[in-house]
Amino acid sequence: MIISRSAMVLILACAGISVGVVATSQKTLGLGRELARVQDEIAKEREMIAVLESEWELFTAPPSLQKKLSTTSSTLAPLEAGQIISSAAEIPVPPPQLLIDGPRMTQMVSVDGFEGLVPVPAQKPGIRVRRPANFMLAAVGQAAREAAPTAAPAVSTAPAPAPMPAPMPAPVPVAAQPAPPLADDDDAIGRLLFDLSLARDALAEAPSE
Amino acid sequence: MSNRLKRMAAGVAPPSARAKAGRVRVLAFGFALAFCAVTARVGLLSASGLDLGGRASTPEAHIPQPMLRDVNGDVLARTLPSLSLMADPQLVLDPAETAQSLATVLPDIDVPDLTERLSTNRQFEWVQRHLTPAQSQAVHMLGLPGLAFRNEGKRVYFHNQNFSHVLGFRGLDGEGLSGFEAFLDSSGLGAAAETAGSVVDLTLDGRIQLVLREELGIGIEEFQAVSGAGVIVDVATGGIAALVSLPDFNPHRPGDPRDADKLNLATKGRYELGSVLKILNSAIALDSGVAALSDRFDATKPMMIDRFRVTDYDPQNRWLTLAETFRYSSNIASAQIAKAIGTTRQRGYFSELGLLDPLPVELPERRSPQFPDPWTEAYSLTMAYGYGIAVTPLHLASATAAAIGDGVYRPPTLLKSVADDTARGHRVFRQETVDKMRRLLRMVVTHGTGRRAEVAGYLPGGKTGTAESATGDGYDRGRLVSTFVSAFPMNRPEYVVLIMLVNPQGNAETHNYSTAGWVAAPIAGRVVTRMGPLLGMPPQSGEDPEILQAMALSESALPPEVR
Repeated sequence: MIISRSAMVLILACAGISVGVVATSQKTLGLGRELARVQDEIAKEREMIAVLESEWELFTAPPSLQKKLSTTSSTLAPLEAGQIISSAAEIPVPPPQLLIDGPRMTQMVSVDGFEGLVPVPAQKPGIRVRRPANFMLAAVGQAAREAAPTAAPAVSTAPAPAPMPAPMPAPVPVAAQPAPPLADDDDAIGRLLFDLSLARDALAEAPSE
Repeated sequence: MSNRLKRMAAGVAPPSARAKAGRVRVLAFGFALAFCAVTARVGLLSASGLDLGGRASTPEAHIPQPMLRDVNGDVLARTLPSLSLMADPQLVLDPAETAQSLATVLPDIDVPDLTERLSTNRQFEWVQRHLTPAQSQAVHMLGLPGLAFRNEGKRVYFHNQNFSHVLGFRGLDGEGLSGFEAFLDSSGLGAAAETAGSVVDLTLDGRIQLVLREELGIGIEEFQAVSGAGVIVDVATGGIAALVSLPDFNPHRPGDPRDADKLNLATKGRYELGSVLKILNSAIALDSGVAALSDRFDATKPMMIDRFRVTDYDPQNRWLTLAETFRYSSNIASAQIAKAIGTTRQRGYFSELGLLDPLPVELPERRSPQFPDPWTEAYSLTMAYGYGIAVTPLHLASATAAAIGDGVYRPPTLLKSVADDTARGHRVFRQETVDKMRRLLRMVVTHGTGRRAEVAGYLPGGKTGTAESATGDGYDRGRLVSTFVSAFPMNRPEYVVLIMLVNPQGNAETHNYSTAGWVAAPIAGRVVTRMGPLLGMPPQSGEDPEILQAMALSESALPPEVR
């Protein structure tokens, strides 16, 4: 044994380290290639995004929109000052009773050669129909009206028919009200409209800036 | 060591066991050293982040081309990747055949020219720049030897011609050749933007620009004007919302840069603008306290300045108040007012309003104003009504913004970052002066020469100016520059709108008049009509008592028919 033990240890250590170094460098090279590939991919994606964004810009730029508008037989015209509402108080909200009144549920309409009675949208989906949407449904409406008293408690979990909640000022006799605070669904609509009119009045009274 | 070598060379005495062990030790030490060196090198390489492949960086000069966005965040210009076709003539087998087959997919190719260029001994020739993806695919499919593609950027302007003068254009190699693009390169702003997301936000508004260019174009056609310019400036910030000069050009196919349509009249055109300068003359008089709205000036007869006779277009032949002077656009009374102001004071105000220097706007197309030196009294009197000093339309729009806004002069800018600086600018006029000027400008639209600019709901105000063009030895009555400077809404002005037509011709509808009130004011009116709703500005009633109060002038100052 010519080589001393310490020298042997040193050589083995170096060999071990070198194996580790080679393995690491190979791994690094591999990762580097992977990195380059991913970077390439990102660059390509970015270019693609830029192209897509540009297409969007091209389609939505004012000159292109105007060009498209001129080629269609659109009747759109530039907006004028008179068509802009400067405050919510200017929005014309019809008085509530006009909408809930029975006869107003249908309307004579004449559009593009069609002439006839059409239902006026009054109730949102999901709300039970307690009143005919138009006179064609009068019979169905009648049936619904009769069924209502039995159906109502099933839905409502309220212990008793409580007086009208706010914003109605006080529970007043039903018959005396022209804009009737009836029951259930009609109430919901009436209340909504009443709220709207209150809000409108409040806006009208609010001091302008 | 040297002894041992000598012994080895001489072939004497084999080394002892001890010497052998020493040699192995040296060897082991050497290996260890080598391994350490390798390890260190690997460590260094991994630390220095060596580029291990991927995209080769391009060695040629890189020109930063940031994306340009308008005030709404809409992209106005952007550079998209494109492929350019190049050839190495030494590798091309048959130049004629190559050129022929390329022409089948690239119709713009000049076959004889390309054949000749491919027959040379050079190693590089452009075949065609900026191919579409379909074209490059077709060329690829031809499979011709000696051809290669190079990645380049193609500048795209999404609003086409609308911004051609203000944004300018870039050359084939991406260099900015005019407008803001050229400024980006020369100022280093482009390079600075590249580190910050490569986006530059501008004060321009694509929608307003469209309206301005369209209406100005209609006006030019209607009155057969030679050219025209339009400027819209945001009063509160001094930012340029729109800037148009017609005729203009297509930035994608700019053609010869020396063509007349490359001249940006709004920033490089210099004109004696006539009566619109009375806005400044009146503001200076009111601000310096030399005159009040109801002070009277002699306009009974034409005034002589040296050998020139100053006359009025609409002579009243009486003493006029300052308000009346503005309403009738009296040259005589304006000259009288300028006399009261004095040359030094006038020059001082003009200088404060930026009228004596080229504007610091971010465009290479700038022009120094032209004014007399020395600034004699005779000239100062003519300047009162807009002769003797020639400025660009943008100069006037910015100065007007100071006179009707908040009295602070803010140099015009295209950069949103500059416009957003609220501390910018310097005060020129007092608030009191500004308040009176608003009333005067509104009166011109309700009762004066600017009536055709009235727009219900937006209370525009303005001043007309019709100037004769200077020729070599005097002025040409037949060649007019008609300008209308307006602002709206006049109770709290937000925008200054300037419309200028060069050499407009009257028609039957205008009774052959080509003065500003007939030709330029209606254009401004139409621009305001479309602009207000676009910006979502709530309309105001001119009959509203509060507004009537804000726009009222005192009885004693008013012209008789307004009282």
